[in-house]
Amino acid sequence: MLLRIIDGISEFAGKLCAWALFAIGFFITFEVVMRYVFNSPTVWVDEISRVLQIWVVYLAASYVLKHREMVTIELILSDPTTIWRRLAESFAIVVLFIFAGVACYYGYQIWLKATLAGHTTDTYLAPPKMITHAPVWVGSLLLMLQGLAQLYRVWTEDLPEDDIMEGAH
Amino acid sequence: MEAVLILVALMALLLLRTPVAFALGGLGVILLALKGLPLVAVPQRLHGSMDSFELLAVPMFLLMSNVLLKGGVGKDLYAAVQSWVGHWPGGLGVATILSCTLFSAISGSSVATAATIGTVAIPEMSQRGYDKPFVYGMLAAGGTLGILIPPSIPLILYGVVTESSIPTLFLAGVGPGLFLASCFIVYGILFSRLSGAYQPMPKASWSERARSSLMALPTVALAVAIVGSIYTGIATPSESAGLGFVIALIMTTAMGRMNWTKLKESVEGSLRTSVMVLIIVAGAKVFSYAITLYLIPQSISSLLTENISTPGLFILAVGVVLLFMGFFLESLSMLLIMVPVLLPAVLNTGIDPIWFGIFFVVLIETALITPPVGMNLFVIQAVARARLQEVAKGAMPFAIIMLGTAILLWFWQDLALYIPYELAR
Repeated sequence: MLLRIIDGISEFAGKLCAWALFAIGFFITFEVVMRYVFNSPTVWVDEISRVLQIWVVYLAASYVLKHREMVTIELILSDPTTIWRRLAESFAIVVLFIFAGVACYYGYQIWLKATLAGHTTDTYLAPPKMITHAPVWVGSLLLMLQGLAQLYRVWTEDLPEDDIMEGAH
Repeated sequence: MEAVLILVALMALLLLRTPVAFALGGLGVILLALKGLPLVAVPQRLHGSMDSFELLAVPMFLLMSNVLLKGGVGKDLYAAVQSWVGHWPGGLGVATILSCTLFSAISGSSVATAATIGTVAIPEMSQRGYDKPFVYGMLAAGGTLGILIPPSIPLILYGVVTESSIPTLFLAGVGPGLFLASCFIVYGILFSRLSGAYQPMPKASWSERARSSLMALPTVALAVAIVGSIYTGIATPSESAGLGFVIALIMTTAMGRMNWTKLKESVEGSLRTSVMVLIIVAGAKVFSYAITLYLIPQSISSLLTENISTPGLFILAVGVVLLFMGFFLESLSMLLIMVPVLLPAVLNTGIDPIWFGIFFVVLIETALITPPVGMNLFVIQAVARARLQEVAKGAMPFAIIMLGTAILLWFWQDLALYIPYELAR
């Protein structure tokens, strides 16, 4: 049940981010058209697109982990049935926890401080940091949750064969 | 000593199948913690690494090429080129490399180029009796053009990491990209002629040529528009990529080749590949921050400049190291690990960072087709359902051509630098 909830969150986050990326494409096109056709460049496209990009990358990291599409060097331990492979995959998740744990904890501290103080970014649009500085810790939290789900799977399910076509889009 | 330990730790993590992004980020965190440095820098670097409009070119180009792929442009391109050159001796090989070159101008990834053209070209060439390892090698090598001919994802990342101009890098990739494509074509014709292992295609009629060229025309026009808009400075790479994506979407929809399922697949596929790439960039940012605080790039730079007297020897040493690393490392990781480490030394020796970017990418291309870890070999192996040894054997002559090009680049730097510095001025 818990596993299904975690998977569901990651999947939802991924789909949301995919369409955010789609929207960025249209924002950028809008900017170019406004600049050349109407001679009135926008003030928001650059900044909104950057903020969305930060959200997309960190929020969708758990979705990519769930689909086992993180880039990995598949040189040794390619037999998915061995205990060594399971140990290596578990170790990789521990490294993930170290990385995402620090990003989540300290990212949250920065975000909390900025949110309580009502800080905005020092850019033209000046959006609240509550929105712009949340993706790192929120995304890392989801990544750790998905990491837990993957760790459980490593020891309870058969591991899939290496997919050499991953990323060949 | 510290540098060696860190490199060994990183290699161990990578070999133990820790995803590259987490290996870089996790090791970065550990290094910072060991020195008692404030870890609050970690989320700051992660945030800063993605807060970049230039980097948006990566997901935008991926979206564009995915939409075109789902719209079946690979087939169109191959059919059009084949109708013009298919009847030449070894003509299908020529068609394959030309298709890869054209596809490279809309795709920034070598894996996508090899997979797309490979799916169409391998069955066709095999049916016509071409030597199998030769066909596989040609596709694996042709695919690598994807990262040299603009747009190129590695060149975007190199530009972001070194703060070099991405349009200049793109322009610098054109000369060596076309040179390599020409070398592949000449080798292909010579091999087919000498081995005689092919059945010539019947010459296509003018009406066939006109029909197939018309089908491929929108894609070629889009490729020209993308490169042209960057070349003339009308749009930044991210802008032309975003615009290219919307035009590709309109184009494939107008041709009746896009539907909801294909759109969903291309958008979600682009997201996965984008995040897969960008999360490594984020991890690498933490790692390079940590090693900078350990003064590793500086110490490597002074070690190199004290012991190596000329820029030529320096490039030779770097080339050998990269070639060796390329046997084991995946290409983007190699770039994101090594560029921050080598950059101070490159600047110290007075080497043009734009030239170095192109040299680096040519070596990455070679790494892509050399075993045991060569992504394009794996892709062709999967597409053709062939044995890895066959693919690697066929790719060997092409790897030698690439190495030759890397050496030539040193002696004839204008091959890369003439277009951005002289022609585009």
